Amino acid sequence: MPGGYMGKYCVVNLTDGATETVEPSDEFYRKYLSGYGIGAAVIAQRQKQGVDPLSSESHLGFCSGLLTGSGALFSGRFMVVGKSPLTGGWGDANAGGFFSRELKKAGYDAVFFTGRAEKPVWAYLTEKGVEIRDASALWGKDAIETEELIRDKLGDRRVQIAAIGRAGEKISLISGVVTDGGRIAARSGLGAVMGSKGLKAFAVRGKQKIPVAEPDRIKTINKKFMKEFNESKVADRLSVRFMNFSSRIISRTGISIPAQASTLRELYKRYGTPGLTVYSALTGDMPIKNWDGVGYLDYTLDSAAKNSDESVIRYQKRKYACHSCPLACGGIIDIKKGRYSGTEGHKPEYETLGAFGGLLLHDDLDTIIEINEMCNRAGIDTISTGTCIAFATECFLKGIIDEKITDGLKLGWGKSDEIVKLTEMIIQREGLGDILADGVKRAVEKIGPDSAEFAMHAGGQELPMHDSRLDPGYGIAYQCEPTPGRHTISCFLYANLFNVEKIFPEARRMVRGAKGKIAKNVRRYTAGTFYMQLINSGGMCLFGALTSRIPIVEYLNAVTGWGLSADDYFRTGERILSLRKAFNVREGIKPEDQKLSDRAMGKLPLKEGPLKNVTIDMDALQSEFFQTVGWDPATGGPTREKMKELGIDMLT
Amino acid sequence: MPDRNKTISVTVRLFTGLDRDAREVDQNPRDGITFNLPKGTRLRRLTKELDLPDRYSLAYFVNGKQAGLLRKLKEGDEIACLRPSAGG
Ligand code: SF4
Repeated sequence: MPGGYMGKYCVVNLTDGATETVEPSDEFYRKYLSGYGIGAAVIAQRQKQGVDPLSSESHLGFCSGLLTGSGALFSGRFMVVGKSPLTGGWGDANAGGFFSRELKKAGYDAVFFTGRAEKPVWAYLTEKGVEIRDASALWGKDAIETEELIRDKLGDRRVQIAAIGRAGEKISLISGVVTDGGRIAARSGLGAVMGSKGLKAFAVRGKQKIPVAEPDRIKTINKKFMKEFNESKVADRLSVRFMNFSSRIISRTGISIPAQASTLRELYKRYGTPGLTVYSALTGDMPIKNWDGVGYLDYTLDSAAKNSDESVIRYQKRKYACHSCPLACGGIIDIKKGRYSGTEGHKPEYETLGAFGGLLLHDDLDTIIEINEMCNRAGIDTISTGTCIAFATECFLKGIIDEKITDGLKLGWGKSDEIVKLTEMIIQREGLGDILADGVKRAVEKIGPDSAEFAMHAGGQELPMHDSRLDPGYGIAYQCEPTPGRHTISCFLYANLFNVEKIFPEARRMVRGAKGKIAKNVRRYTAGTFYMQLINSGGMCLFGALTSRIPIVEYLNAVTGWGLSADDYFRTGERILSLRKAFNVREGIKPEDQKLSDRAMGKLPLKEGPLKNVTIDMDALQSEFFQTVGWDPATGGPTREKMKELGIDMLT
Repeated sequence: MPDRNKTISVTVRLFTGLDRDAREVDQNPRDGITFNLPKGTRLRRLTKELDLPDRYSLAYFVNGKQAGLLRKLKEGDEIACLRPSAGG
């Protein structure tokens, strides 16, 4: 048998406990790899068109990566997949930790749940199959307590668990799935799908060997990779030399200095994503004051500095690395204030520092750390929650909602107590929190059209902490991708850092063949998103791809023994992307349903700062992107011919 | 040419680990190190004096606005020096 995959997935019906095991052919894995690919292929075929994601007919998948557990570095991520109740289209999210490898060791590449349990349950997967157990004692517990209780019950510290917290139980559409003490697959609202099925947790444990076609080759690839990775700058020496020349000019003129993989690597190693806060706030990358403010002027350098690099790392007790990760961007910190004071938790990520920092003009790090822990335990997305609070704050300050609606809360920028209180209300679905717990788009439907201007989302999903007015590539990601409002895909900067043209000859041809700067950027973006499908289906981490040149093609071939070319894989990336988007088309999502909020396009441009007078032409970017990927501008998804060409016409 | 008769005072703030790597000074480099410089000094000279690593690859902001190394400094300028980043 070729390597990489375990060769089977199972579908568990929670209504009656029936389990069906499927053993796909090698051909299937070649076509879809694993991770997002297997998830989309299985759900697109098994789930009927128009199924409500919160109904018993929906499917929720937990997928490992094709490279996970093979010895390939950065390969520890698992994916949660299904139809998103937040956007109504394809939904997925991923998280690190150690769940993914354990799932494979139990003998499966993926497990899908359908049906609905009558009473809360948790599922336990081992090599013997899936057991469904009673979760009445776990329901109501937070995600971290749930993990501990399951480990205690099984008397096994090595069991890996993915669980929902309070938010998923209460079917909050901005809830996610939590693993390893607070790593969260937060986006797409899939925690709500899990909650709607009455599935509190999914535990996995196994001892099977993960097959690898050429294990010695993996070792050789790793050795070479690590040499470059550890020798600061060596991997990038050539580009650094070039950059040094260009950056000399750039730094004299003061035009933006682009990030380099080697610099990023140092930053991530030292600080993880909190290393980015000050730079992002100053350059205009971090949205300030619900996307209506300016870094430095509205969110001072002092404020940003309080939530950046050294200030955050002061709390760190030890580093944290997901399975097989040489970067270790994570950290376990001491929580010093608030309800979890005296305990340990995961270091807040940049997204959280932005969503509860600059976005709310708020700078109390102890409070942000407390909120981060509250959200991790409740299993709720910090990007969406912060954005909901920013939305409510602006509505309150502009007189659209009053104290009757806020239950007496006097919302305002930078007010720690009010922010904590409203976070709690969202988690518990109390008062205004109940309105906000399903995201800003639905909140507008309840509060009224006057509030629409302040709801920062695309297709119903709240926008990340990267401003599309600074890098319009994010605009394409937010508006045109299968899962709108996501930043972990591609943008103009990522595509450069990914070095896609060096990996795929076809990417090089694509970019070279473009006329004009916009077309070139969009094509590079496109190559970036194809590449990210491989990263995600392989179970790899985006940060690995940003900070180094992951030998993805070499890894895939050494693990599977397929001997495919870089361009074959490039095509696979295109297939997986198109399949996910075709799912949206089938579910009736149109391009206008995924439209980016006006502010994020700069329709009324900012009057100060680095984004002064910037408006991005999303229509032009979208049409260029659709043309590049061969998608129909009317449907926003692959044309019939394209689907046929990619072999995904089962959806037509 | 810098006018040696007149001096200006500027504050430099270092982030993204440049503060940790900076040579010993009395002041906290995150809060700001004060420098008295001849009038007309350019940012380039200051970065040299600070001995910043890879100074051509760093990003500089003067009073919140990205600036080039040829920028002439003025009395009271607040200069932030950072490693450019992305992702998150
Ligand atoms: S870079 Fe960070 S998130 Fe990615 S695998 Fe490593 S520790 Fe996990």
